Amino acid sequence: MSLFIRKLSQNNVKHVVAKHYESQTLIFSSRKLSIVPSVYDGEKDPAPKFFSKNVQVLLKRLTRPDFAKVFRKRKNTDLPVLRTPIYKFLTNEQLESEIAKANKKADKLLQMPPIVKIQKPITDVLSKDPALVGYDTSKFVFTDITFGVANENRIVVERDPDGTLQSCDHEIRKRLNQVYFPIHGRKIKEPLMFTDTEKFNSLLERQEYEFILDRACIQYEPDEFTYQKVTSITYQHVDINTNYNLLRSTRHFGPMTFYLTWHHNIDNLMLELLQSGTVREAVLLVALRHELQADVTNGDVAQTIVQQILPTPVQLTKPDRLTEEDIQLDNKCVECIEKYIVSNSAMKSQHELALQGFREYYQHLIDLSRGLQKAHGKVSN
Amino acid sequence: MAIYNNTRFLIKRIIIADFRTSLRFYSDQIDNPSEEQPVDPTKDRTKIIPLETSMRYLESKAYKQTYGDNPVWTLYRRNHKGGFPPKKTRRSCVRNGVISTGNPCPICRDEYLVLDHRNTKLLEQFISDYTGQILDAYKTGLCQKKHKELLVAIERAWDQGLLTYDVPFRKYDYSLYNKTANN
Ligand SMILES: [Zn+2]
Repeated sequence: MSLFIRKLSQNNVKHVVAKHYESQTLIFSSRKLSIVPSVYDGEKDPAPKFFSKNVQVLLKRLTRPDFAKVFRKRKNTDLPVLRTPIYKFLTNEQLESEIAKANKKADKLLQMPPIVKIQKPITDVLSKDPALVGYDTSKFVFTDITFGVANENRIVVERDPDGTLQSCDHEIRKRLNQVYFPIHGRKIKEPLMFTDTEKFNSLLERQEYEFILDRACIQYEPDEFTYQKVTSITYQHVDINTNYNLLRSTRHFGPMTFYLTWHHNIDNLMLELLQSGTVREAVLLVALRHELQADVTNGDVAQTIVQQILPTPVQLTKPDRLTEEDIQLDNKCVECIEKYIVSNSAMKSQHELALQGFREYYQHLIDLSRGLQKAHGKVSN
Repeated sequence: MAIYNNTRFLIKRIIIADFRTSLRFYSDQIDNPSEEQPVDPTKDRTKIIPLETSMRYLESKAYKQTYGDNPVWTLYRRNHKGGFPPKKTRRSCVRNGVISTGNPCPICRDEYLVLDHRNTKLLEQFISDYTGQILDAYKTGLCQKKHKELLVAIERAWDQGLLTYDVPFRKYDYSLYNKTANN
């Protein structure tokens, strides 16, 4: 607990220094602690890193997709009639093609909301016509509603009463886009759950993270300030309360990991990974940190191990039997993590302890599976 | 003289009679409600039940004993002639603060069920487990007035995040956001 507070206060100091001038409006006070949101508004643009292939692969793998959760029954199809499941006998080839289809579908469902830099206000004066001064008391807004133009590229301009013709700002653009080309589920008026701090905090306390993030995706654009504020608070709340499992197998786990790594805050996630005994994912996280921050001493080693990890299947449960290749790979992972803890970790003692726990458990597992192999008469050495 | 006496007598009688009627008039007004229409306390709906009471009631033993684990509308049956119930339920169960029907709808019959956006335990009984949509009055038997109140309360609860639902999926077009790849 004391460590938590220390970590929090470190963070807070960092952010408060960075944006002292607007911290007054930003602080979201909760009963227990106040979370200061940090948005992607620095010099560095996160988009190129986020969209790069290496990072995408790492984030998707860290999501640890469990198909039972990815394809859970959703109630948002507007079908009044429910379809019954179909049971079929399939040949091996058919089964493979069905599995490939399911993988593709899961990939679509797990598409991560993009992470981009915060938007800049549009101040683009097209023309000034002094002849039109005072032609009307209100301004006119013109929207190009040509079919097939993306909302982001649509032309929306306004003529002010003083005769200036200029491009509209994001708020007006968003409202008019919603009027002419409504996005299903988005409201013209912001939902109270985002504007009312008390209601938002109650949602966080009820741990409805997925609902908050899904709704934020629909309601806001990824480069809006409010979107980044809402998601940032939610990610930090998840991080502080170690509720990572609630976001696993959803499209939001990748962006959360990216957020934590970008803001140098992965120690808690690393601890959770080590405690749950998934060293391979811990190595992926190290590689991700090296990719984004390039401050890990043995980052190259981690990246080579990642290439070996990626072809192996996702570990949803703890394995009960190990092959020799598994053991080799996991040993490499443990070595890599050891070095990482010595050089880069901020929570050294806890990480060491968690890793030691894993080693003991793993040794036990190795003995067990080797004993089993011997019993089956398949002695390898 | 005789006429004079007669008229005086008459006037007296009229005055007395007038006095009597007025007396009776006032006494009638006082006696009327207690004599003719005593309001049954179980049918009186003029008392406003606070929301907190209703929420406590939904957690209570009495509620459990009455409804069990079922939604409040499960055991309700509408009265109608013929084999098929009318498409629309009745306009309202309550007139002038008194239940005006022998078979009030599930919300009107229990005065401690208050429709409000904070009363989520009651509201979620009217949302389908399979489609996530609000159940029709045809199925639940709510009168039109209460059904409208229900729609408002649920919409409010969704807006404020008191009730959660499965949000529609949004597909992102990465090429719009990934500006470095285009250049
Ligand atoms: Zn009614």
